[in-house]
Amino acid sequence: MEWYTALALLIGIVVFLMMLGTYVAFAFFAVNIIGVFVFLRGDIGLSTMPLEFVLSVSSYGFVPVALFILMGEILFQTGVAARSIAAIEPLIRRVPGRLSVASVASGTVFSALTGSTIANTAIMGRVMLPEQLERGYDSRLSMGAIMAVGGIAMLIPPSALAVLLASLAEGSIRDLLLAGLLPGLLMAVLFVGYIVIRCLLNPAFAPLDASDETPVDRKAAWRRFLVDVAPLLLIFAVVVGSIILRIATPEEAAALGCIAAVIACAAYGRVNWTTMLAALRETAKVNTMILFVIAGSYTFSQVLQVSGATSGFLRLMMGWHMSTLVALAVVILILLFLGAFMDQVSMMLLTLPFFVPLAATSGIDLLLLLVVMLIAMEISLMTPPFGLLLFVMKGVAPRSMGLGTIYRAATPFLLLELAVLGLIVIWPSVATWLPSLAR
Amino acid sequence: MILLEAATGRLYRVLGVAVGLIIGAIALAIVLDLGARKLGVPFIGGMQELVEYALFISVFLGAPWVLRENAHIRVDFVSAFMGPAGRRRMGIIVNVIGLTVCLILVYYGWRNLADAYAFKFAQRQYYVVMEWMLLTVFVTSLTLCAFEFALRLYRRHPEFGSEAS
Repeated sequence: MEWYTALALLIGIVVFLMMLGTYVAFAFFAVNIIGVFVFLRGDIGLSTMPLEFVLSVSSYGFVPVALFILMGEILFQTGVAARSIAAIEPLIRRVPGRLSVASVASGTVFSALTGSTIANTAIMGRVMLPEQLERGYDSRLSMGAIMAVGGIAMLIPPSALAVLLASLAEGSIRDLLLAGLLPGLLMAVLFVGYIVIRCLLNPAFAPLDASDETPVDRKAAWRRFLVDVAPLLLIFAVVVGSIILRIATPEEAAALGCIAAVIACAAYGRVNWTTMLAALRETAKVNTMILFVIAGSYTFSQVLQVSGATSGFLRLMMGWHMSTLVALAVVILILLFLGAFMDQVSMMLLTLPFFVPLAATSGIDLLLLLVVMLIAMEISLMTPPFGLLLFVMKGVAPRSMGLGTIYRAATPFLLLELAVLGLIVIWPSVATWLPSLAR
Repeated sequence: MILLEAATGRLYRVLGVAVGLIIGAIALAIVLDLGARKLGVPFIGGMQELVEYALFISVFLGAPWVLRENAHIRVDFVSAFMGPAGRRRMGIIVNVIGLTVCLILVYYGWRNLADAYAFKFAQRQYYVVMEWMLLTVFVTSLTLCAFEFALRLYRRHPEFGSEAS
């Protein structure tokens, strides 16, 4: 079979099944059964395949995925996260679009405490959106800021998806976690700048009310910040600090983060069996969702290689004599296209078998490739029509907010994220400087 | 059938908690192992290997529970444009595909398991773990998943839930 026929068959089947609504893990299982039967010794290949699935998730590299999710769930289920978000808002006064700016600031802090984009958007939507809408803030500005900052959780360490991406690509988890930090912060600064400028140009976007004019007890606000937020930043310090100082591996840092989160929540008197069990159950659910897809897709890259699809695709790409810049642009365009209707885990699994060898042959540094992939996937979280965060927002926003309004809310922030992505493609040091410093 | 559904429901609730506790135990064990190493005190040997097997068991034991909760990752692209009748038909197709895939994997899992048992195949690192034990978890998980898909078809209400991720 020609390589392009094999490629079309394998990718075609898995995408077709996904589009039908088949659970992604089972779509991958199905295409693997067909692929192994056709390309890998038929019946004999199939009779040894189950053990491959078993061993696929028996990997220490996946441990931080589960533990970073657990860390976020502990803070989320105990209510400590909501408390810290509420404590940041009083510090930002007299800034145009104050509540939207507070959403970005709180969301950025919360990103550093949880690796989950969904948790970040859901909690910010529940805590920050109602007040903004009640105060007459522009709904698109309010929702856009919350969705945008929700996506930042994918970049700012600890990020479960960054760990997963580095593990699957056999890259350095530590380097990728650190590489996401500056781009994440840069995005947050751009979001704040956009909100402030937008509200200065048109104050109707964020009308002032009596509470904006009421003088704030700065001492009380800072005291609240020191009590409700500062101790939580120690969790971030434990996780990132232990990695940078080489006290712990990323797996151990994630475990330390969980214990630190429990201690912090216990200090606030919020730890009990109910909240802990809820956090453990939710973690179990999300972790199973993600790693079961990994199990299903494990032999997919092998089948692609044996069928000749990977090497054929690479030969084709090499024949185009692409520069590094063009190769990165191809990577970004493919991810943005896929991200419009596919989840991030599936995107990684579908594209990594092609992108990693493509990067190697095009002279693209693996770390740069992974950062670019991470940001492109973050952007795709908000890309209409099926970006995941758009639906999370639909779930937490009032019923009157249609998907069209949510799409329009996301657009300016998408453009800002694209600008950061462009900057990193042109000037990779924005992302690679921090990991190089820690080496 | 209703009794069986209720019984598996109870089993899944227990599994959900058990899987969560496994993940909690992984976090605790890693921290204790780190602390013990830093202090030069011996802890449990082969910790990394134990964690890897615990992770595998948690994922495969959790899969049928997550399926019952309709929480596995799914792309609702085509069905989003359909009416209730179309979604229901699509649901039947998807469940038939899921059931078929599970049954094939259970069949080949059994064959793999039987060979591993007959020839005493084992994973040999710090611990020697017989492969048939690992494959038993795999076959059990996929059998329960097959049961879940069959149950959905039996209920005749196989439409998609709203919990898509």
